[in-house]
Amino acid sequence: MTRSRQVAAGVFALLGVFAIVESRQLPYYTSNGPGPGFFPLWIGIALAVVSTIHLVQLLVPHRAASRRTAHSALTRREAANPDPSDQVQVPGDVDAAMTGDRADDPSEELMEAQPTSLWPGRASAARVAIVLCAILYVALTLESFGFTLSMFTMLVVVLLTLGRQKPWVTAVVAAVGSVAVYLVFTRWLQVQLPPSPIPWLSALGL
Amino acid sequence: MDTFNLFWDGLLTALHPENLLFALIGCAIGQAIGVLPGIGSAAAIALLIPVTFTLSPISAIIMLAGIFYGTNYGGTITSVLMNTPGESASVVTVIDGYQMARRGRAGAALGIAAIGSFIGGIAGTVGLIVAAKPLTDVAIRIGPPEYFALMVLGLSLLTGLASSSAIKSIMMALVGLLIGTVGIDPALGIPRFTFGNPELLDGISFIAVVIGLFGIGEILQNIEHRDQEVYTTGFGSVLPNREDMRRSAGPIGRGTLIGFVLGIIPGATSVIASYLSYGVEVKRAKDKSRFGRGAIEGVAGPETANNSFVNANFIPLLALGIPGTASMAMMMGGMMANGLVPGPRLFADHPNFVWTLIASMIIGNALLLIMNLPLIRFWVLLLKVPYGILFAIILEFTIIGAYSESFSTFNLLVMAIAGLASYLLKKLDYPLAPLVLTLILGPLMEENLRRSLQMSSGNFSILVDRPVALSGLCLAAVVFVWPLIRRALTHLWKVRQRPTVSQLDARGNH
Amino acid sequence: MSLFQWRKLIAAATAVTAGLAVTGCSTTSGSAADASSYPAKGRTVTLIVPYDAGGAGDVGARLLAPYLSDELGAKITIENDPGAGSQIGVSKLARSKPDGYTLGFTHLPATITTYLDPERKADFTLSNLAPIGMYVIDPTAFAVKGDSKYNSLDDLIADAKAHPGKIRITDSGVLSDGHITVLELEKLTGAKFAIVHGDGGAANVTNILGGNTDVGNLNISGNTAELVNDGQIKLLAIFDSKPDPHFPGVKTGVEQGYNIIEASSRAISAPAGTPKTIINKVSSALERAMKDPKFVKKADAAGLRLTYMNPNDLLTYWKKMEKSVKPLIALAR
Repeated sequence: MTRSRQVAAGVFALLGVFAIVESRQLPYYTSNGPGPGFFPLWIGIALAVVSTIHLVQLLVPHRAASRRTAHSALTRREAANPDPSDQVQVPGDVDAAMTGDRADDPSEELMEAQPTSLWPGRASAARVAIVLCAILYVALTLESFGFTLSMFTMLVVVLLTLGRQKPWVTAVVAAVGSVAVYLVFTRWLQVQLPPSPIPWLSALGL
Repeated sequence: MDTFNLFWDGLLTALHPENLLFALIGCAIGQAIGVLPGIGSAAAIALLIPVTFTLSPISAIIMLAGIFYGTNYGGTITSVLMNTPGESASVVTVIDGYQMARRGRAGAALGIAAIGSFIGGIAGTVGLIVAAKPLTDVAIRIGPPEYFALMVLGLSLLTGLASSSAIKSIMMALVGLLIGTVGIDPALGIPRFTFGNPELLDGISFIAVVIGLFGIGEILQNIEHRDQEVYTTGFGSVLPNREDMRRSAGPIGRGTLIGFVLGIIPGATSVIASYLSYGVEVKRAKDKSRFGRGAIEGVAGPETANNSFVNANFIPLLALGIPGTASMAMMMGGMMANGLVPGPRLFADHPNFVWTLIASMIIGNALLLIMNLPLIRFWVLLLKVPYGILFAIILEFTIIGAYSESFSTFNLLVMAIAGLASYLLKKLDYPLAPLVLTLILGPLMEENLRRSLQMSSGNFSILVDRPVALSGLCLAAVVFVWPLIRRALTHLWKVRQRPTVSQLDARGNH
Repeated sequence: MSLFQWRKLIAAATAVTAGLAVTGCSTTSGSAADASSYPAKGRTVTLIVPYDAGGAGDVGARLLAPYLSDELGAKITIENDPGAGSQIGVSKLARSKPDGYTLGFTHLPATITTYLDPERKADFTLSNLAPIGMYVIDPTAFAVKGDSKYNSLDDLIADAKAHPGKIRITDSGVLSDGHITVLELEKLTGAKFAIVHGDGGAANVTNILGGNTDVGNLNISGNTAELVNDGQIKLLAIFDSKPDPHFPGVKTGVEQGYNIIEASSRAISAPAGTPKTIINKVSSALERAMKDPKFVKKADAAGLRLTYMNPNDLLTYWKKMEKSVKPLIALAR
């Protein structure tokens, strides 16, 4: 789980670096102040730096555990390390919350303590993948198949696989979701959804 | 007295059965448009302008106006029930509104939104009656430097957003800013991060990202396990209770004010109004951890602000002939197509029209409140649909929403990627709100900074020479730094109160 | 059922759908463009509007559609393909099948600057488009606040020369008609302005009235005349070939000795390769529709400045504008 968090922080750091590299190709400063490259560059630098700090925090073994053991250690570190990114929480300190600086330690530690994985099993991953693929399927077919057909097939598949609905329920929901929705949008609201290219379907007004 | 007589005449005309009917039709259409994600009120008005030619001009404009303010009542519904904003103005409502729905409080969320919208709407209209012209004369002086200050103030409120980790919030805020830079740069027209793809020239669609982050992200989380219980239903009162009303009174009042002020300023948008209202509520709250977990203040404030905004938005149009937003530009188009040219002389030349329109806005807001409160029971029933079916309906809604925003399937890809990102980020405890908020504010901040500098040929002094901009920036600085100072002070206090290390050690030695 | 079985089901469903779609497509493409029988009975003509529903030019297109449909004898549907300042929609138009069933709006100079600007990497030029006819020409004008000290272009230029880079002019975006006008004026006179790229239209009126710009670019349609008559703003010049009757007393740029003619205009075009007879048919239908008194009345109320041009005149207009814009691209940044 810590590994996933480290990877995420690393990815964000790389994203920052990528932004830095890309924005170097844009004019940085013009006679009228900051150019197109100014903001992306500094946002990229900030992202890279902050993500790296977070990554280091995650890589260095948890200080939090030791924090509770000795009160003295807490006070000493505070004196030595005024860094605002340091997640020190003084008990009952309302103002820490004001800065959004509520320590993430309690929740994180709780989760770290649990052996259960952050990531679901293969079946769950497949369910998530089906939803994403359904969207991609519609993206690819919407304009060539037309709204009704594309949406109907998508609904049938997700209702049967993920919803585990009975075939007749599936058929009704998918029909309403494709045909009725299409008619409402195009007839009443005058919003153009792609019509079907199939002659007998488009002849029906779909 | 004169104003009152004119208003009274207008009210009588507005109450004419035909006008009443078209107000009702307009509100109903607006409500429907609001519920459907993607299509906004500007598009809806544009699509219906040709229809209005068959009506009398006054009925036509009453109907179009109804669509305009009706959308805000509808936009809340999908935000609360489906975690998918039906309207960009309701983006912020998603954060707490949906959490309320999951806790069985969908009715309260929708109820308070309707009540807040009503109050905000009426207040906006009253402001229009009382002080249209003088207010507008001040509002139009707001230029790029003031806008820049406003955006900085908005960003400073970010620090108040409750989240589990400060560093992760900062990271997400930066990612939002970065995404906001994609597209043609606002000052020189040079493409950034577009990689030769014309779909990216306009930037990454805010609506598609938000629908993906919230709508799709939520579906993915819920669908992960079979037969997951998503909504708590079946207990508690449907409408807001006394405690809710008590908590919401302040947010509604402040939301009204924020929405009204921004509504008069041409160029501001209702998203900014609702976001600022949310930011202020979080800042003011004693227990910030409630936000993001179904705090009713997080629904009441923004929903009031966006409706107050929309009604106040008529002020610059009617007083000066300046449409403040794209939707208002469409209203203007509709008025012109019906032979009423908005301009400073509109009040004088067509007093009956103007006052009838204003009266119809009060009636329309009342109609919407009457329509909405009973409908809440019906909407909440939607949550009783088994999730195995409901998720598919939500999925279809999100797809239509992201697609119809610009009729591009590219938006669907953006939405899918945002959905996946949201799923992963939630697992890793990254907060999404900062990303969405910087995505709203970042591009506006850059654009207005660079416009300011174009005005001054690159001289930064323009930001401090103008009193309004300067006070905005100072306020932002205070908002940003004050919690840190207070924290430091409290901290020092606590350290002094606490036994020191040496005392502890000394005691241990005893 | 196991996941594997579902996978099979999905595959089957996809295959069936794909099959249906392919048969559908092939029947459509079977009916090839037949110029003499255009428009074929029952077929719909798609009119691409490269802007948002409710955005620039959309309402005007929607007003025109029913009249054009009557004159052409075919159903017309409007398709909004917004994005990148019309680049997405025009690019789609250029790539469409040249059979006369896909037409679209090409706004000038936006279309021209899009393909001339190397930064935009557009995949079309004039050679990929076949101009059909002009619909609306909306001349560019310079507006100032009602009580401004400027009364003519001469006043403005003199002041700009005295204070180089200090006089603020707000246009409606990089390489918009307003920006091009300012660049031409700078080139012609040697004056230097502080050019602020604004949002155009209403936003510019706000900037003028609120004192956030010295000069604002406006197009003269919409409620501009209303604001001028009221004395809130005044026009220094309209960059048209002849004075406009709605604005008595406002001289053109040419009349004041500055040879600049600039406008934001909306033309209808087809993809290149569309048969000449189809182009002419649509163009004359457009001309007839634009003469229909009922339509003229509505267009007038909506503030549209109708100007018809036939395909040849439009092409000449287009090429002339292309020639004048080309040298300005490098100066734009």
